[in-house]
Amino acid sequence: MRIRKQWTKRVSRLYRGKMSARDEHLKMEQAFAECAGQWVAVDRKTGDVIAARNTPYELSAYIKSEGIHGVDVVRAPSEQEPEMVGFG
Amino acid sequence: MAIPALPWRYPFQQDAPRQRPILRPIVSAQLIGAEASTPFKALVDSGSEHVLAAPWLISDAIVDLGNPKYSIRLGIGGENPLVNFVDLRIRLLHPQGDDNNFVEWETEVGFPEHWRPPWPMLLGQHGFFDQFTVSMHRAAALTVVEKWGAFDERFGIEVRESDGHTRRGPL
Repeated sequence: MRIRKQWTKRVSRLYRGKMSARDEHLKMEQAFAECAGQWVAVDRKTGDVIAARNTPYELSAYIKSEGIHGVDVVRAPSEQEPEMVGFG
Repeated sequence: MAIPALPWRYPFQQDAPRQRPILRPIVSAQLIGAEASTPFKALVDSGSEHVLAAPWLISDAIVDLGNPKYSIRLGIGGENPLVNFVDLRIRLLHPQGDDNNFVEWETEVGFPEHWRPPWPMLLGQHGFFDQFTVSMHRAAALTVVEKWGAFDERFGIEVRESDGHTRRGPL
C-alpha cells in the first residue's frame, strides 16, 4: 500500500510538471503489477497511466479538480482476480 | 478543428496477464447526465442486449434514478441484480482525440445494484450496435467503429427492423 501511495504522488507531480518524460509514466501493462486493483487514468493518446486511486470516486474527483483532459478511467484488474468471461 | 470522420480505430486493451495475453475490445466513452462524467474505457460486448453502467457513474454524471424508465433483473455472473434503466446520452470519444472529439446519442442505460468488471460501461446491442457498424479483428487487435449504414454498403444486406430500429445510413 505504501508503494502505491508513493507511486501516485510521484506520477501526480510529474503530471503537474506538464507530463514531461513519457518514460516516467507507467504503461497499462505495468499498472497491472504496480497498482493492481486500483482505478487508473490512462492517457488516450499515449496509453500512459498518469494517476491511480483506490476508488473511481477518488480518481474522478482528482481528474476534475486538476482539470485533466484526454484520459480514460478504468480499473487495473489484479492477476489474482478470476478472468472475466462475458460480463462477469 | 473539425471532428475526424468515422471510421474510428480503437486498439484492443491488454487485460491482466493470464496463461496468455488477454485482449479486450475497448472504446473511449462518456456518460452525460446533468453533468458529463469523467471519460472512461467501455467494453464492447456484442453478446449483451443492453448498455450497462457502473453505479459510481450515477453520482459522477449526476443521473436521476428516482423515476426509472423500467427496472428488471438480469442474469449477470451467476447473480440476478436489479437493473434500473433511464434514458441518457452517451459520447463515443475519438481514440486519439481530446474530450471535444465525440459522437453523441441518446439511449437506455441500465445501472445494476452491483458492479465488478474493470470497465465502467458495457456497450451492447441496444444502444451501441444499433448506432454504428462495429468490426473487430483479433490479429489486427482493433475495434473499428463506422457509420451505421456501412454494413449494408459492404454486404448489401437489408437490416431488419423487427426491433423497431430505424435505418440511419443510406442503403
